[in-house]
Amino acid sequence: MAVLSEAAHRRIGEFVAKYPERRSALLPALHVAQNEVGWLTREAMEEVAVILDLDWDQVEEVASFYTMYYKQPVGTYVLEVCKTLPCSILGADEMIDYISQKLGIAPGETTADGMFTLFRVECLAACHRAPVMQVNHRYFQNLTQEKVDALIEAARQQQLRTGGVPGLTVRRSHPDLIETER
Amino acid sequence: MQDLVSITVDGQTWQVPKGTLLWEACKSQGIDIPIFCYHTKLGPVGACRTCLVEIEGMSKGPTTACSTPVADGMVVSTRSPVVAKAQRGIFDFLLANHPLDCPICDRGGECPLQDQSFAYGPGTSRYIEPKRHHVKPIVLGPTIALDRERCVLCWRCVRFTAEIAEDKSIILLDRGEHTVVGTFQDEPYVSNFSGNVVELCPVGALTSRKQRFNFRPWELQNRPSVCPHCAFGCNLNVSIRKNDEVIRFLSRDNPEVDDSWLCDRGRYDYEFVNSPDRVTAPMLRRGDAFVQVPWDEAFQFIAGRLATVVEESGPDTVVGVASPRLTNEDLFVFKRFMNAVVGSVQVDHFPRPQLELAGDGETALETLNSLNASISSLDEARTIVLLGADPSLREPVMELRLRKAVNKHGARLVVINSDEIPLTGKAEARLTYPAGRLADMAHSLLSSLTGGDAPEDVGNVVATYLTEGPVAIVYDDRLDGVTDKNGALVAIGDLAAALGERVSVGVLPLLDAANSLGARDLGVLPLGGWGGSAVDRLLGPDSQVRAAFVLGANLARDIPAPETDRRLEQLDLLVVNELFLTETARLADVVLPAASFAEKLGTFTNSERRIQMVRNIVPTPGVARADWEILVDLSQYTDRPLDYALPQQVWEDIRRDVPVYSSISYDTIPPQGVRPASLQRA
Amino acid sequence: MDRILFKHVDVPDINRLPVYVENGGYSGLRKALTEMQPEEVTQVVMDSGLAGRGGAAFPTGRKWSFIPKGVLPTYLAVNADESEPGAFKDRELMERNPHQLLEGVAISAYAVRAEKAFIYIRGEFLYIEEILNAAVAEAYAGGYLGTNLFGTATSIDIVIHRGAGAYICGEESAMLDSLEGYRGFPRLKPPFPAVKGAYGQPTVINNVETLANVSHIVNNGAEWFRSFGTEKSPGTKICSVSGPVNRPGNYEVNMGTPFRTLLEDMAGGLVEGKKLKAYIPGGASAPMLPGTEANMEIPLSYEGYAAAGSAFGSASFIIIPDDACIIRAQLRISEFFAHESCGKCIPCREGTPWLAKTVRRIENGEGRQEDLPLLLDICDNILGRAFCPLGDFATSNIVASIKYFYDEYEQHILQRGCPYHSAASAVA
Ligand SMILES: Cc1cc2nc3c(=O)[nH]c(=O)nc-3n(C[C@H](O)[C@H](O)[C@H](O)COP(=O)(O)O)c2cc1C
Ligand code: SF4
Ligand code: FES
Repeated sequence: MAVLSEAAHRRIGEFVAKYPERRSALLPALHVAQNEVGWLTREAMEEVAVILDLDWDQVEEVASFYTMYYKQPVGTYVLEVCKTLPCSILGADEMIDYISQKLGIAPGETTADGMFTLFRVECLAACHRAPVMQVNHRYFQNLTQEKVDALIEAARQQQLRTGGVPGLTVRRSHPDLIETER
Repeated sequence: MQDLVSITVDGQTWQVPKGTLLWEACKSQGIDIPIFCYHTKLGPVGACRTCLVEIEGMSKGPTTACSTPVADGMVVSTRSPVVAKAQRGIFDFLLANHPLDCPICDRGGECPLQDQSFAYGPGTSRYIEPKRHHVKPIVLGPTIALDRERCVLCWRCVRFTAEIAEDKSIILLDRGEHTVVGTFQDEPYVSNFSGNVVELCPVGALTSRKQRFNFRPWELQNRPSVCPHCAFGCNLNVSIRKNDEVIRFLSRDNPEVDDSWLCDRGRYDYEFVNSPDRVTAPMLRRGDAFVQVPWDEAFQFIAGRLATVVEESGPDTVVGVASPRLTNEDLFVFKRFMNAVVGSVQVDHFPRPQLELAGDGETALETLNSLNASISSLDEARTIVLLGADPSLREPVMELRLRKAVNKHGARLVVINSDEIPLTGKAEARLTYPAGRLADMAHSLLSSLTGGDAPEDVGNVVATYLTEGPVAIVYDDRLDGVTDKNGALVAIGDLAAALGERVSVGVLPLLDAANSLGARDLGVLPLGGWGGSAVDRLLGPDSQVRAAFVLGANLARDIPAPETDRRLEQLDLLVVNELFLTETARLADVVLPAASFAEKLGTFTNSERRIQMVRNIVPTPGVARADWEILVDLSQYTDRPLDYALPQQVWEDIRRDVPVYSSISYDTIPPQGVRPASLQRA
Repeated sequence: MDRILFKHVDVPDINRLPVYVENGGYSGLRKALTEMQPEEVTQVVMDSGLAGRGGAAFPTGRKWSFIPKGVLPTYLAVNADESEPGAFKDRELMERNPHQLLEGVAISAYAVRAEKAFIYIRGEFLYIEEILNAAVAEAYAGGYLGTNLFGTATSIDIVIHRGAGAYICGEESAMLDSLEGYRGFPRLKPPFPAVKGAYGQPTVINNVETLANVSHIVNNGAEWFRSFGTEKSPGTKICSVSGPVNRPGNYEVNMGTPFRTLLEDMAGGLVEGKKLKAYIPGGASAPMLPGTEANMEIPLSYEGYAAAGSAFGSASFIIIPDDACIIRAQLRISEFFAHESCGKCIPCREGTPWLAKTVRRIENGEGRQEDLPLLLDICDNILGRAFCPLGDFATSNIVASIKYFYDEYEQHILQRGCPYHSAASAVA
């Protein structure tokens, strides 16, 4: 029983074509699968294995190594707040506490409504915009309590929509939420 | 000649072949360097860092001996203060999270972590943080349990399943300090080779569920032997306790045969030796029951009945059927006994391929026999053809050799079979044929090879794979399910012969039992050779047979028919030598207690015609004896007594009678066995 | 201001091909492919003295020259994993001027006869993947990538490969394993990647910033490049400055410029009210230095920081102010390495969490006097014993922070707690 859409299959096929060996498409394929299913379910890993001609155990062995693949269900919005030194110096610890209290969950947990998951993560290579987090793997930088409030509010109001690939779309009308600085 | 280089380790200087890994070089010189992740058969990964040594002139500090090839003039210290400090450090790390429960660990007493941390480690741990905890033990599969707290993450088990057995694997999960070994989504680890990971595990993390806590390693002694379960002839160490109990089988590396692996069927089938159900004394039938009697009484009874039958109906109404699981010595004395003592030519071994061979069939067998290849020649083969053969089923460890031949030596595997087999996935080319139609397929191959008509796919395989040698052919001698057995054998023989005219060819048959080839070489066949069948003669509808000696063959089970039982019951004399009261033994007039492979000295001939020794490792139960001894003793009750006291004497007669064995002297058979000089290629 | 890599960052739409070309873009590639042999490209890079900007500063031209002749295919792998805490320079190079990287990659691929180059970006760089893919598409359409470039026999493909969260994949051989679809485990060496790299073929691995320099060197020559920087460290370097400064960000400096200029003039100095307590010059793997006057004058160069007992590395400057707790800072560093240890080798897998747990205990007020020698001894047992440099990296700041801030450790131990933070805030 397929859990991945035809579009996902096509997308994985495009990756396969780029490499000298099929197996190289494993990381991209897992990204595609996770984007569709939300996390790496058993069925998703099995399907990726079939597409790439791998044993299913080869897939989990790889998937379990990388932190961006979720091995458990996560919320619609995954908040990954950097806790590494530069962010920590600029208040990341307090920011994590703030988000944690606001959402009523500890890092690693998901809100009861399935809307938010909070993680503490290591350096995101945005230290000059500390404190920083990624939401569904999009950057939100120079975090303040107000920006976090706005983000959470916007999400709750369904003003943020999740797309398929590549994840989150930010409405331009939200000046506070800088997806990234160009 | 290999290039030699000179190295100096801890002040000793000697020469080793260029390219040898430093660890192996030191090992061969008796210099002990601790290892966890390295394993001779798995190669270096350099992960555990316990084998650090100092090499002069290396600026980077200590280096791993397991992954460093020797270089000429290399000067190494395995004992310097830097090395000692490094090793202490590694053991400090290893023990930080390792439970200190050696007294209850299955590996306690034979654990390198325990030994080596004693020898190199810091003694006490400075680690005061809470240790990592895991649920323990985890059932990894039907045969294996895993204790993650004990695991040192050498990933030997992982590498074995990924690189050697290539079956659904044990894998690494997660990363860093959270890394564990496990399986995909906790699926059971099911493998025909699972026992090997227990042996590979350097600590007590992976254990056999069958053997967990059954023994303390220090109670055991290991004795060399050979697996009695199939004709591949894997070498064993038999672990025994208190000199009389067989506790487990371990592998004993024979690079020419098993390459240090065992299959689970061989490894775990040892309990029969110590079974309480063994026949321990001669038994005579009294009505519906058996009574135990002294040897003397049993022999007198047999000799008396035998004399009557021979006198009344002639010696050819006596047949003998022996199992190919017996040693060469048993089989030889058996044949002598039948021929010289009884005077009958009606001897046979069972099971064996049931062929009705006319002249050309016998020629085919001779051809195939003369092309008999060594197992290790698979490593040199350009192409390996599995022709109607499934090694995984019949001689499982051959599967691992074939995988190695493909992976390490670039052999091309061609699978020609009517079904999917485990090795299909490894095949570079495949041909299939309708069930049973092996003969047709062999004919097509032959036809294509010799320029005749053949289907296109057959032609392609022949053109691509059979035009360049060396070619190794593996066929299944039993020909189970093949409709035209004779025709198939003749066609395979002709194919091999025709191929042999073009390229270098070797043939490996899959045989019935541990000593099937020995039984053939010794000619344990009836008058009429392959075409005759002593079993047919015995069980046939108008059988004239009145007496039978059956050694270890279970006819009543393997030829299941009411007639079988009736015929055996009707005999005037049925003597069965057995370990157990089998279906056949229950029908006997006399059951004689025989010794198992672990209780006697003797030889097996494996499918590459390697002569290997089994030994008397434990005493026989009760008064049981080796089959050959029983027959020699019985012969003393006739007027034509046999004169053998030792298996060596039997072997000397075998050498005289069987030319192919003439080069092999009993005392010089090495621990890893030997193939006859005439077969050894340069 | 002498700028090479950032010369055009402020040109509007420089990320678009036509604008890039208008500003002289792809002329280096044209020159290399139509006027130079691969060996000549390697030679000019060698002569320029360009050294790897990924951290190890290995001479780039020499690395290319290790590729054996006639073993095809060869590959070029671009290290855009950028996971060193404090580093965010490659991100900006790719984000703002992607074609500059692609041009450098294409020229370098030509130099080592690679027809395929992979740009390995860290998993979190989802938006960079989109930027690079757009630029790659433009370059194919414009005839700067693909087959028979500029009418020559040369073909070059660039593939963007995104990781999935693992610092170790910045280590070059782990990066190749990850590229091939495996766990990111560093490989046993030898064989070195130049002999047996991606897919078992000869492979060159270079950092983004390294390769971004190449088109400029080809266009302007080795002598021109050497006019920047110092004798031993020619060229410019992009320095990332983070922490409580007025203008955190990336600054391209002439190598040899004193650190003071970077901190005070470019980054605008520390924010009001804070003083410099210490700084890390080369990302979390480089030993911290106390904020002394002498350390303000260190020339920004590999040799400058080596002489000061630290490392220039990826030039990622983390500013630690006087109101920050050194033990907390060390804890964050130690947690990072424990989290990122791949788990392949024992000293790193077991040693890095041990370090982190011990530092955490001290920060939480449960430290013991013997913990300081213990920490140093654990470092001693990791350093030079681990499979790859990650283990070594994990030790450098422990040793440095104990060396320079012994008193602060003692204070934590004696007062059974942190003078700056409550224990609860140190959770793992
Ligand atoms: C643990 C570890 C992490 C590394 N991370 C990076 C990285 O994120 N980016 C990078 O360019 N080099 C990184 N390196 C250095 C690379 O291994 C390699 O030296 C570099 O990519 C070579 O390119 P260069 O010569 O152009 O600097 C890392 C090395 C190690 C040991
Ligand atoms: S279970 Fe045993 S063999 Fe497997 S990694 Fe752990 S210690 Fe090694
Ligand atoms: S430390 Fe937070 S982004 Fe770098």
